[in-house]
Amino acid sequence: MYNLLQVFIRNGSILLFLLLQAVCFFLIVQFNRKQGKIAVTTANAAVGTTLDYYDYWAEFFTLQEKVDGLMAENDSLRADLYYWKQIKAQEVDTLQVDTGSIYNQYDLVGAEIINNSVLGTNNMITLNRGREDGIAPHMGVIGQKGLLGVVRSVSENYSSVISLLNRQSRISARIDRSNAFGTLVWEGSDTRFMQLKAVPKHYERISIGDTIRTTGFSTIFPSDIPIGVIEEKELPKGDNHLDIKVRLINDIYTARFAYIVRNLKKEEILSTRE
Amino acid sequence: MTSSTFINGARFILLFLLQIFVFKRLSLGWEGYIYINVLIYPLFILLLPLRTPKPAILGLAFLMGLCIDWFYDSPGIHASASVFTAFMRPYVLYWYTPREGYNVNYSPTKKRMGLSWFAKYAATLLAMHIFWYFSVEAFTFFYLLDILTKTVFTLVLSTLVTLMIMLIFNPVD
Repeated sequence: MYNLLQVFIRNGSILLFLLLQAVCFFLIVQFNRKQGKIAVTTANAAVGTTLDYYDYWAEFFTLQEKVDGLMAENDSLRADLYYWKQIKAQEVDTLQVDTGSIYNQYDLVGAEIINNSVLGTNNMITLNRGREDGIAPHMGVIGQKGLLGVVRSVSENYSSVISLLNRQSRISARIDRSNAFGTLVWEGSDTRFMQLKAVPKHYERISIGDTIRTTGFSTIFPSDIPIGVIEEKELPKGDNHLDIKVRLINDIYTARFAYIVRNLKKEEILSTRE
Repeated sequence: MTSSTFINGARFILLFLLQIFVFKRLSLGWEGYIYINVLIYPLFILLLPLRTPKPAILGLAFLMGLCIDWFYDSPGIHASASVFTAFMRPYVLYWYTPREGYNVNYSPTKKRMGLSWFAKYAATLLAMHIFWYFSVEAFTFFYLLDILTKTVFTLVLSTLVTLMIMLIFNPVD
């Protein structure tokens, strides 16, 4: 017993080192495995509030930039709105379809990005909207131009989002014109590009410059939101699937605003799949 | 004793705030690669007084890492790197023992030990910290080249900023 005690005293710092490392690795693995762990992220109430306050003060320096961005977005949204209003009017006139049910499937909740981690390969975004605003895990998040990520966990007033630039993100995407579809992943280094995987090689009509859009298969994102443009395509030797490099149209690191997509018919869609 | 506790406590808070509110937002890169990050909070571990007991260094480093992790959305990763740095500190100090030895009442600061000694000491520990950080972050050595490039870029800038802070404030202990 005395000898054991001696061992502990002599190697105390090594044992403490190993113990603390074990705690760290436990945290890392826990966070990566379990959904909804909020205590140690920036969506935690105390940290989120601090960042919110900081943003409030830091905001004054970039106000003009933000206003310009929002105005540009308003312009394009207005243009879209008129376009769709016209189409809707025509449809109702000629086809007599009940368009209401189609147009009301998605609801957007505007949010501000209060934290955007950029250091590593598993990047997260924190938004200042949470459970109280009707946000739940697995909702899609889009930015002013394209996709941003998927909600991972929510607290009362904040939500933690897996950024597209995260090795864990998987987005179902299709290619314009050819309608081939695959899974979009990030390989962890270049923040401008993502990789479209699992597109069978027999799709001949895929060419550089084609637009990649969401499929809408997953109930997370509405269909046809642009994500990026094909930069390169390549068929690895002995592989039946193309390797497609996609240039993102959305600059995730400079994004300031986000819209969380609530699929109002999610339950209904999922229930048909059971 | 109390004054050094106060100094180190204040340093903990200031470096923490500086890291999360200033340097966290400075992550930069070019051509879509985010390489340039500045980690200055390890300076807290570097500057603890030489007489600090090893378990206390490990505990304080763990606490600092955990606080940083909260704001970086990376539970455990900064903490792991900090604990590693704290663990290696006595060994690095031993490697760089000056001819006349250390005065245990001092802290290993630039003013006490000289600029070239401090630069060597800071660069070594920061290299260990940053390499450990990116390795644990990737969780595999499959991306070794990526880890190494990020380590080099982050190390150069972090060391520069750390030395600049030491030159500006030039604390005695």
